Amino acid sequence: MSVLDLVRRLLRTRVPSAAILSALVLHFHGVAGAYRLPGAWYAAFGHAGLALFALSVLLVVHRIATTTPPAPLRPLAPHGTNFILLGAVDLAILSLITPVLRAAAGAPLQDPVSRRALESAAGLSGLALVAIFTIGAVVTAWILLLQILDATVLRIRAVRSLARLLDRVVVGVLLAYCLAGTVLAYNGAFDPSPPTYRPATLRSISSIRLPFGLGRHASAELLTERGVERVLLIPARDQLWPDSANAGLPLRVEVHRGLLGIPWVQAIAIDTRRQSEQILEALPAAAATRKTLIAALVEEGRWSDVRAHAEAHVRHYPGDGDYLLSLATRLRAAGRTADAVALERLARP
Amino acid sequence: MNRALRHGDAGGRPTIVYRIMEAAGALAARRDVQPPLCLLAHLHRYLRIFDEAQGEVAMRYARRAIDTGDRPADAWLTIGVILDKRGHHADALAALQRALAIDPRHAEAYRWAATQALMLQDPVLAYRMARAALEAAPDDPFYARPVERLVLREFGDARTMAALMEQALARNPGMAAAHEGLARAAEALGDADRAAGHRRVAAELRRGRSAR
Repeated sequence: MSVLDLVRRLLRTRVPSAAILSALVLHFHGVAGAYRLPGAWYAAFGHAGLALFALSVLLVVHRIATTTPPAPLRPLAPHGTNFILLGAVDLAILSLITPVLRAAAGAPLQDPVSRRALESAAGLSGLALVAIFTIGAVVTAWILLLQILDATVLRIRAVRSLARLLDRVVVGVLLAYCLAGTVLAYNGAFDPSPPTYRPATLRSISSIRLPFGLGRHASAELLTERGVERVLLIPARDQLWPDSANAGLPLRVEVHRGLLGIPWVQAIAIDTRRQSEQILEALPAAAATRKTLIAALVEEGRWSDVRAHAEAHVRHYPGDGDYLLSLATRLRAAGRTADAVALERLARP
Repeated sequence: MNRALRHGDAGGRPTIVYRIMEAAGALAARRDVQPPLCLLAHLHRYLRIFDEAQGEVAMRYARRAIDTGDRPADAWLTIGVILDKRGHHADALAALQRALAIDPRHAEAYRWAATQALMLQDPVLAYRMARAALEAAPDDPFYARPVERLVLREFGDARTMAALMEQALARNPGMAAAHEGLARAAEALGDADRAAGHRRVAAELRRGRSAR
């Protein structure tokens, strides 16, 4: 059997195809963050990913509950829903019996697998327990709702047709989301373009707190050369997050051109050069800040600015000749002999 | 209680916690007069250190204090501190700015605003707030430390530090903390003699205070 045949078979089966679709939605939710585009609609796209994943999980549960099982499992079919229900209830119960598991994990068990399983279950954090309880409770509620609907309105043929149509619409929306994610992944993952840095200023950060302590989705409104842009935030990559940045913060947005010409944002960092300039406006004699700024200017090869700031530094701290001499060496190495000589004169008046 | 809050020593003496619980209960139970809402908010802010749920009680009292005009600047400060403890620094800064709009000489609100500004990665605002706290309470050495932390240690500005400490000493020559700050600034400027002189004065002042 070729891979294509296998894929075709999988797509024809109701439950595995829904499970794969659900996994793909979660994957492309991650991709949406990894290769994010600037724009308010895109922030909404990122937020929508989680809602679609929740929808896809419900779709999987729905299909499991309504599927015709394979021949060997058919004798168990009348109890299929009950198995899922019990599984979901067990998940919810797990969060309640964790303290007991913690005590049991301390027992000297010979079997390393059982010991590891107990230790893992006992070591679940409060957040994981809340998540497990929530998933268990939602699945239980969903199955109960399906059972009630099955016994009532789904007996009507028109409603059954409508339910089938709804199933197809949901699958269509999930597929569209995955397709958009594929385009973004292709655009970003195979993008050989070097990064370009755009200056920006933070205007505001807004966030949506997910229920049951499941985290937060945040986006920032940035003032750039192109106007106001909204960008989805990724805590692992950006130096911005709600309650960690004030309006007016100078930023550097790392942007890539994109293989398909769709620019995407790699990271957002604080622009230490502009922030140092802001500090020096308030405190012109801030030596440590000016030295940080000079180091950034040296990195960028902005030698005239290096000399200007070095001269400003020595006006406030005339005794810091050694520092000026070290800068003069850098300037000379960069071929800026006139600037180096000027600093050497200042260092040895 | 304020000393414990200032020096991070809350709970050092368990009797204080019990006394504050007793005082909060007694004040809240008074039916004859309007309870001192802002004071109750402040007491529950202290109790929050030991029981997070007390933060919500403190917030409720603080909001009622603001509505009834009972020391609203202090009540906003309490709200700001509770929000800070919850990690809501942007909201905390907004609450502290409300406190400062009501009382522009509120040194503690300035100090907490400086803390929020640092959490929000805004060093210039942090400097302005810390400096304003020192200017609002020039005789209080407690407000010299945040300024020094920022100006001298963070920005390396020994000149501004020296100027600020000289201003503080012009108002209060007996402020040992200002002499010590000036000594560190002088040292950073390479003036070892001046630094030694201010260290000596600070040591004498502290010795004199402990002898009293």
